[in-house]
Amino acid sequence: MSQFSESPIALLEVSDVTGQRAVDIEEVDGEATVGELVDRLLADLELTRDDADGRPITYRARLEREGRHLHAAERVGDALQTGDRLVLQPNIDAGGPADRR
Amino acid sequence: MPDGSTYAFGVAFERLDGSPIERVDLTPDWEPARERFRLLVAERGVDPSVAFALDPLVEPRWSRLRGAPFVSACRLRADDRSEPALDLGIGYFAGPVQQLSSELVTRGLLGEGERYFATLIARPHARVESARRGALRRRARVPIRAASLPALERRAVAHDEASDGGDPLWFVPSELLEQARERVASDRERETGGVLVGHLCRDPALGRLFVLATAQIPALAAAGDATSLSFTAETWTETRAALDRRARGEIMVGWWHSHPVHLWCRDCAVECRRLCALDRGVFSETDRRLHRTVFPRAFTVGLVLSDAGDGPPGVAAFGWRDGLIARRGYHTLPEGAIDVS
Repeated sequence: MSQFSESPIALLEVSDVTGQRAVDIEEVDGEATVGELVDRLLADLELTRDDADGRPITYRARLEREGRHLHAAERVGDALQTGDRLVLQPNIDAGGPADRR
Repeated sequence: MPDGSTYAFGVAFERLDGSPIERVDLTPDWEPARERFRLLVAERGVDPSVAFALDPLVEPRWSRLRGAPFVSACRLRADDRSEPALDLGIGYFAGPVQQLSSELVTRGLLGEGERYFATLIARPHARVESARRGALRRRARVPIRAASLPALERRAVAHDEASDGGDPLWFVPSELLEQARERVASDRERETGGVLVGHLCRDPALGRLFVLATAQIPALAAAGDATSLSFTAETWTETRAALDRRARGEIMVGWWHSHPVHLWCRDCAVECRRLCALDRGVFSETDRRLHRTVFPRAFTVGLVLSDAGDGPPGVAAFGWRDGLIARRGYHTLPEGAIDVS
């Protein structure tokens, strides 16, 4: 019996932008928000949370089935289906030496 | 992040006379070291889907002089304690230790410029699994192609210092660099860049890994200005789509971007510019963070094209060495050596 109270999503594949790291998750709480799910997946994929200045890196979750980025506030149970594939994509800067900024 | 260790680590700060200042908890970023370990295993011919998904243990090597809890090095090895093992020197922790010492200065426990001893310490603790709802299975997709290393080396020209310390050799076709240079030349007022794709290869006869870059995918959706380049979610989507369209079994093996040094240094004296490291290529803290975030695999490289304004942009390569990012060598292949269309 499921440990979740309602609407669990079964078997989700999540990968980083290179596609070289992926995790299969057998069950996801359908009541969670996408933002909460992404936050938990960062640890599972060993992704960094902060940029060089210590500010949080923003990750967006791209849903391959629909070819769109999910909103952090969306409910997992509404947005995702069993077998879906997500890609976590960071908004991140490169650039010159900090003292030149 | 899960710390991947059955030990909790810290730093013992002491004055030069041996009196204690403070012991501070340290949570190292083990992932680059784990990646180095995974590469070692893959080099031995282990199936890459297994090798690159390994989660090695981290064990302290106690100081011969002082014994536990003082640590002289750390060793990474597989759960079953089989070979290989990877030894990490204390240098791996230099960055975080320096950061902790700055905090001690801020708190008034260390004087500005005061010298001190910092020694790594460790104590056993239960391995903590991250709180997770639902089982999870990690997968690694890093295909390795069988190829001859000597066949490439014969045609290649080495640049910068020779790659040592077991780093995989890196081969880049000349046309690829030319494409990047042309892109830099097309807009010299802002940073530009792209993603390098290619193959991780293994010479079965030599048992050595190496990387063959085959193309660069320009980051057209990345927004650049004179001192930064933003790789957005859209950038990654476009890159992935371009890679899929190529359908050549390539993987992302690194990235490149430009530094418009001629803008940064336009007010500097000629003599200063002659001595300035910017002309020769630097990897800034933000560059390092991007590399750590997107390209943590130990075989990946970041190329910097420095546009000093006095000729074609110079190329410098940076990559992983024993879990730290360092300048490294690379090899160019002559025009026509491989198809880079």
